[in-house]
Amino acid sequence: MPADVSWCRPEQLPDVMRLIDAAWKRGHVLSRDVELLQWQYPRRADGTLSLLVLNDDAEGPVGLLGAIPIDFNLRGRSLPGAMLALWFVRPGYADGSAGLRLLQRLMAEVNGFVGVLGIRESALPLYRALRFHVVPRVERWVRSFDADGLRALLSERPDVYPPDVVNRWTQPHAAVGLPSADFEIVDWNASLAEAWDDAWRRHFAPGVVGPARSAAYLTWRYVEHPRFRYVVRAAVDRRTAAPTGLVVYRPAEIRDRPQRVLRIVELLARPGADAALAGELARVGRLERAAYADFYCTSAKVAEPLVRAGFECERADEPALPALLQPLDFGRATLNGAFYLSPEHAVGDPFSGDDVYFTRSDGDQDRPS
Amino acid sequence: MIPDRLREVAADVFDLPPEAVPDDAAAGKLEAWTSLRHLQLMTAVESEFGVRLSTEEMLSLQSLPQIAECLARRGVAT
Repeated sequence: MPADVSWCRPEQLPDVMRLIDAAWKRGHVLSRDVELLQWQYPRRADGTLSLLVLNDDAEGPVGLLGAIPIDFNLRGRSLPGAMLALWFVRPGYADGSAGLRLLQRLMAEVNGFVGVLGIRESALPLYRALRFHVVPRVERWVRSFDADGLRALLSERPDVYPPDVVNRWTQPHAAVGLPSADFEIVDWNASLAEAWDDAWRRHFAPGVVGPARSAAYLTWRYVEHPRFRYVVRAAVDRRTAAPTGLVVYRPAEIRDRPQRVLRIVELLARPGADAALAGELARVGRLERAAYADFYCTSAKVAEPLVRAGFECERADEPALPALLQPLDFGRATLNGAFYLSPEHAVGDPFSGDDVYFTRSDGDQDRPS
Repeated sequence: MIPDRLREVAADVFDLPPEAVPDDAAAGKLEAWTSLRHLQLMTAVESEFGVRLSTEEMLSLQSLPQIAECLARRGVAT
């Protein structure tokens, strides 16, 4: 009798957390932090969590597929969507194809966009076979704001970072980031929500393929994050008082090291505001004495203001700066992704343009470890 | 009774002799039918029978009888 697939009921959470610990990764944060787990997979209308569970009659939960619900924006069209995070079936489980049944159930229910970031190499062929648009490498833009701190960090691993690479990353930058007279940079607050949604709909959504960055999304993803302190700042046009851009970042500690990293996770800006926001990020980077700042993004166009502010795109043929900080991991920086849109919604390949906008904060790639 | 060509395709993917592939072979019933092998089977079916399956079909066709029925519906000679 095949195992049954159903949405996670709240009373299943202890069993689900034990399964994550036993079958996915010992001590994984989602096996320890029920608040984070419930935030990441919010309640659906019927009270279940947006987490599919494979239930075996005898064993209970034996597999999971997390589906972070999103409102998918296809150049102004709003479609249902989900970002996959946490997909596994207990190793050795008798039904070796049960994992696909989880995905089938999800895709049938979503009937829109399904995406994933941070795919294990072993799972990439599966997404390719299912005709997902696979992005082998999400580009990453980086800049140091504390050359001495970065040099000290990289000197821990001379086998990874040869002197010429260290020198390149730690060379002085020209001063950038002068305040703009035309834009005021303000902290996000609830009173901005309506104006931001209007700006999103009119100015950003028509040129974006990716999760909708509505006020509701920003509030859930960043303002209400249960563990990370994200900073959400908007550029407001002084003449019109309308928001014309937005950045989100968080200063991230490195375990057992004094250095910090400025992790940028959103950058949306209209012309003019883009320079002001890039300048704001440079100001914060210096203020925080960030060994480096990074921004993973599928769109080089979006990152252009950062390049003008001294950021560089990491080269595939050079060792990348560390991406995992808790604990520090010098070896795993490449972020990949795979995206799928049901044929009834897609015209051509919607994921091949430079307006495809996913960042490291989509899915569960920016979360506590 | 599933068509011999389909049985042979499945046997090749599952690395079994054709006679070891039962008529009712299905995901969850045949040990060799893992997720990866499932997708290999779908690709092999496309190649052998000259059809293109949608992603939704790839995920929903969970047994050889279902695959045979899908091919028959499309008028594919098996």
